[in-house]
Amino acid sequence: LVTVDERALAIEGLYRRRYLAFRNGLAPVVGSREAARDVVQEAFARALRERGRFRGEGSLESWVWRIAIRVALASRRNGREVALEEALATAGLPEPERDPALAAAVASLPARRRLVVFLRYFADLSYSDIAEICGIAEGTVAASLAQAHEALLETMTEGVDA
Amino acid sequence: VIDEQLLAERFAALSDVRDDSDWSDVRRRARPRRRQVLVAAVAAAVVIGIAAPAFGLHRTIVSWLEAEPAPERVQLDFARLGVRAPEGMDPGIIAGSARKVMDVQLSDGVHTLMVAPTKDGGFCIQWTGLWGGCRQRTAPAGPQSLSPDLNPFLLGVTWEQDQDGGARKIGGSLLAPEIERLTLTFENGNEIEIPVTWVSAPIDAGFYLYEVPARHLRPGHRLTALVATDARGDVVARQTFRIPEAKDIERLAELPDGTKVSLPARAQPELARRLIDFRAESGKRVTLWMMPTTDGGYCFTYGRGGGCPPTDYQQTMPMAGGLSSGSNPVLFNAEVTEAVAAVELRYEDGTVERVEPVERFVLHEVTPAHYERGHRLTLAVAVGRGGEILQRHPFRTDAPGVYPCDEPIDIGLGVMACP
Repeated sequence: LVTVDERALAIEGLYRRRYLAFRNGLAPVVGSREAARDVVQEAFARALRERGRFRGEGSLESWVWRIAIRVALASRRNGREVALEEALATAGLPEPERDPALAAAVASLPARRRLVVFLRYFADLSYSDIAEICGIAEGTVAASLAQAHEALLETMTEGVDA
Repeated sequence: VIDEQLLAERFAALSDVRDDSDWSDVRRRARPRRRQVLVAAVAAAVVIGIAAPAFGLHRTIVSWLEAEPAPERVQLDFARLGVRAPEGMDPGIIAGSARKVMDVQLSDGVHTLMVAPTKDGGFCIQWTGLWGGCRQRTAPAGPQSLSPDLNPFLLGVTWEQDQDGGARKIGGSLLAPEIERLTLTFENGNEIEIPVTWVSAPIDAGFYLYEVPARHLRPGHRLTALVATDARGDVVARQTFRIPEAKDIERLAELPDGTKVSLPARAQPELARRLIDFRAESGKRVTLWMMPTTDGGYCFTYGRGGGCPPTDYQQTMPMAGGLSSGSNPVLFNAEVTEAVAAVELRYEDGTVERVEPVERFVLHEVTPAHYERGHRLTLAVAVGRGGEILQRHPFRTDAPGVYPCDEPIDIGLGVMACP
């Protein structure tokens, strides 16, 4: 039996282990490291407050990630009712000048696929974790990443040719 | 070709490794408004409780969730307890979750209580500058109290004695949430209620640290008991303190060879004689001194240990003893009954040493030839006058820190010990 306060300890442990993954994974979504930090702080605070609602269906990390993405998208929507695609419309590498080719390639991806790429490469999450967080099948994650790789390859190769 | 690995490397190159995490900020954000009001109300009530106990609130409550994380060095100290623990005795400390719970001002300065949960639901504590230890949540099997004590498992007590044997600083933990009051009682019938700080789950225990006033260190006024009562005034747990008689109070005494040792006042060091005396292989002289006491008993000391059994003490086991280890010389020591003719020391390499007791005492060097694994002491056997085996006392040969070595190694988390 896991008590609520044991869950609080687990949330704290997750924060201490995975803070950078959360912040770096969310920075492309909200546009900057500073904004991502605020989202992570708020997401973990909500997780602490709402820890009694975590039913243990899936991993604790995936549950906190879902909260974090909700917080991140809410900050992008700024109180407006907009679709995920629109909320993620400008999501991209926080410092595009550090790798312009990769930044351009990422920007060319559809919004949902971009989110999968961020979770995979900035947050270092497994296919199954991403599937759980995004509420899609693991095969869909694999297919999205394969398509993303192809698109990235194409765009970046074009960049090299040019 | 850009494959997943290369892509991962390009993303990794863009990762920001600056750590600006702040868990205390998360905790602040997590605190709902109504909780802040509640905390303020509790704080006010505690002040009232201390000032006027009749109002009924006698303990401070600390939320574990809101307690400050312990400094990293303290977490490391907790973690090292597990490394140092003998096999099977690792308390299972979750060192990374250690927290600072409270500060208590005593006459010698501020002492801070650090607490870490353990995997089995218990906890370990450290009072800075004082003492530390671990507690399980459930009582061990076996008899739990000796009259007039009551439920001592619920009421952990540690204390420091002053020079006259009275309890000077007293601290401990409570495991029963129904305990409302903790009271010290004294020889002269006076009582003092002491404050308790209750820490929420997963610790779920109360803690106290108190300095007994100087007026209660005098004979006739000293501490006799610690009593825990519930809200109705019923006694939940009680620990009594034996007031030492003047003859039992220890003081520094001088043996005939000028060595200074701590002995009870009833010991007569001026009458001490060398019962066992030899030079260890290192050249160091080893002496077991025996001396009478003023009440017809005896005391013995050999530098690394000793004792003054009560005059009515009856040894039940044929052989009581062990290894004085960790430094050169390593000594096997034992007090045996009259039935024991010899003690056989058996080593891993097949060597057997037979030692005859001198007036029921054995003190024998385990020589450096037996420090290495494969050669260590593995069994002590008490042999009777007819050659019969009266008792076997096994020794672990793989525990670090028992046998000296030239170069201690890191056995984990920077704890250096001989393997």
